[in-house]
Amino acid sequence: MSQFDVAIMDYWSTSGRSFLHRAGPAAKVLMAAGFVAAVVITRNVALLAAIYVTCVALLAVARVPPLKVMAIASYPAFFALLFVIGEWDGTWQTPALIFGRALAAATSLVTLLATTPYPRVFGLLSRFLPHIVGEALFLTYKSVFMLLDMAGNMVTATRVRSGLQLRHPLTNLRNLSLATGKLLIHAFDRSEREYDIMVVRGYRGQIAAPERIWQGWATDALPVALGAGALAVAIIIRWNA
Amino acid sequence: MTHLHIPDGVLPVWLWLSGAAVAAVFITAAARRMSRPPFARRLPLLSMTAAFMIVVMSLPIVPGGYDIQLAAVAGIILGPAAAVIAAFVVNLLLALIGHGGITVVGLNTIIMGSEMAAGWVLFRAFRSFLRPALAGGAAAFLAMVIGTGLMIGIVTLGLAAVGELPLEHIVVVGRAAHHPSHLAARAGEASLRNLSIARFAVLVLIVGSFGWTLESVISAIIVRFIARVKPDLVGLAPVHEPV
Amino acid sequence: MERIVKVSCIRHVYPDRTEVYLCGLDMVVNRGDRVAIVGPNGGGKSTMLHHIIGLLRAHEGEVDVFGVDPSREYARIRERIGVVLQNAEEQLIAPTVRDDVSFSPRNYGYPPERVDAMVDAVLGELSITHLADRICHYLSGGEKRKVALAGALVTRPELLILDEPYEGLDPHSKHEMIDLLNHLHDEHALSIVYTTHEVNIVPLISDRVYVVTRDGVIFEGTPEETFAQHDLLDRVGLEQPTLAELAYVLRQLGVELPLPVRVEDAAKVIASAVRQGARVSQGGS
Repeated sequence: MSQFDVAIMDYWSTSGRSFLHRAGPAAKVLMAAGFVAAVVITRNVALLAAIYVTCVALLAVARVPPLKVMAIASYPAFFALLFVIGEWDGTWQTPALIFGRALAAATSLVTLLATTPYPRVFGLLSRFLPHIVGEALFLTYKSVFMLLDMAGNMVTATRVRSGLQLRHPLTNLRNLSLATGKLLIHAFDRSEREYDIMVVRGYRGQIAAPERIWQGWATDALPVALGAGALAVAIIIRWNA
Repeated sequence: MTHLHIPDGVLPVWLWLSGAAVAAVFITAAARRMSRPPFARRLPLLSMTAAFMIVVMSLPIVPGGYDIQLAAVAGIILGPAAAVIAAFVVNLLLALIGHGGITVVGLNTIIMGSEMAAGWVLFRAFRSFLRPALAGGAAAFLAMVIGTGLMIGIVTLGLAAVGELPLEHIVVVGRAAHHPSHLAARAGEASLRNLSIARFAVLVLIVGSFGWTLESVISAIIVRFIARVKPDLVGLAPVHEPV
Repeated sequence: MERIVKVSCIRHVYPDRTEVYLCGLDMVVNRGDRVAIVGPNGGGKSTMLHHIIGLLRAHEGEVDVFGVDPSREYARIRERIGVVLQNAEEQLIAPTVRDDVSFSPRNYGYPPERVDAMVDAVLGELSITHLADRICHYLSGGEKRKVALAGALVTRPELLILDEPYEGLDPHSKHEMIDLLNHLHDEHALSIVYTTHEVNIVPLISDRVYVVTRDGVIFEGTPEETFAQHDLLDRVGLEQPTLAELAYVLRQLGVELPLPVRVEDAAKVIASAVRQGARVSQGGS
């Protein structure tokens, strides 16, 4: 994972003003859920491609760079490759199906997070999770940004102090491991301070304010329809197979 | 990578739904335990450690795009209950940013949580007769073996299911094209299935063993560093409980 | 005058066995006071603040805030105290500005409508209403500090505690912060206690100054009284404000010209002296 993936998706989701950005989190979660359900049910490569292309098209219309999203969402391809090698029977259908499922599902979710600020997604998910897990989601996501900054500074510091040299991979491994240990200790210290701050500020179990999850049919109808439509098509194709 | 992120659509529905159900039981139990003081105090530590596991994947510790996760080290710090929740949070966040399957969050949580919990158990066992660095490295190695074994077992379960996989498609095509007898078709299906499982397991073990070794060394270095600077973080000195 | 804070001869031992003694003078804050705590690094300034807000419990000594020991009964006085810690970023817990500013009242159980009204009021007062829906992580350093301040003020506390509030701010932002705090003090009778290294700022927003070093609380007085103690400050490694330093150097040169520590007041004194002619002391070099 590139350290920029999370940061850039967060930026896209908070800076966009498109129809997809304005839609409610519940509608977009339903859309992603519909796409993923269709991905899981179908064995039709064409439908998988259609879902993938739909997501890319939605992102393009929402002015989120589709190529960059496709790159981020291609991460599962490596692991899908392992399954393809494991299961390959010499046909093109098997790899197409495995890759198609992995990529279409990942792109559906990235489309969600690239157009919906994380507090709104997590606020919705928190309604269905144990309380402490929902709180942990918010704190973890926030902490990722802080640690990414810290990690970046640490790697830079290691580099400028000649701790990273091309000809000495083992030394690099050791130095970066030490820097990682330092990062962990910083993280621990920070977590202690965070608890103190939460106590001082009166924390009693509510980090984020409850979110409005539905924006109205005008903005939410299309995402819901797309997700439901994909699922319906997948069911029909499977039924008739 | 310490374990494989299983993409969506590879495993049968009943398997990942069962995984989700089992994970839900563990998460609920862990959440109940975490909500009682003094465990509730550990929410920031849990979150920060989960964030650390995500961030560490982006560090260029090993060139060539190889991602480490330090699940065992995280488990040593958090303990089993918090580890389960952290594993779930990590896998959910990774799935949401396209770095893992959303349908298999439950299964991935079980795998990662088991690895973290095993790291905690093994480190506590080893540190009584090994130095912290060796104990940490050994615990990490074995924890990853356990995690990978679990993952292979889960995938084997999935590959062994009939009618849920692309495999069935191949069998159907084969049957239509060659009209094999019923028994021969079943035998062909079984041998094809076994070949797939074996092939998959070999691949995972080859890739995995490289990862286990590397990450064990990294874990050992980190645990040694922490043991010198902040030993209570890895349970080597009494924890100072603030007001 | 009603006393709201008293810290008397406390001793604290940190986990790494570092001991901090804050004996000597008692640190007292009366209602409506603006109190600055100055001192060298490692002297115990932040330790004192952390005792006041109940994060640390003294092994010896007395800490009294609004009549209670904050380390044991902070919950009773929590809503009367607002806190802004040194690193504003660390203080921002919730995802958006509105979430974060509403954090305390929501967790105290205030009704949602009242919470919204309180948040809108404090955002307006600090002129950051336009930031309400922004995600905290993307704010500038100055904006984060304002949001942290808003979060501390949202419940209209009686006492505001600030740890190094001017650190990292450019000169314009520093003066903006000073004007804001003085406005809050004047409008709402807010008592303010803060630590700082910025000695030039202290005269602009302090009624009393405490000097805290490893030897404890060694001096207490008005800004003018405190910064006239050149030798004391020099001994403990503190610099004087520029104007106080100027007055000291002039005295060394045989020119007796006691200067106030505020620029406007000092300018009047200098202008008057120039018009009348400076008086040269008998034994001046």
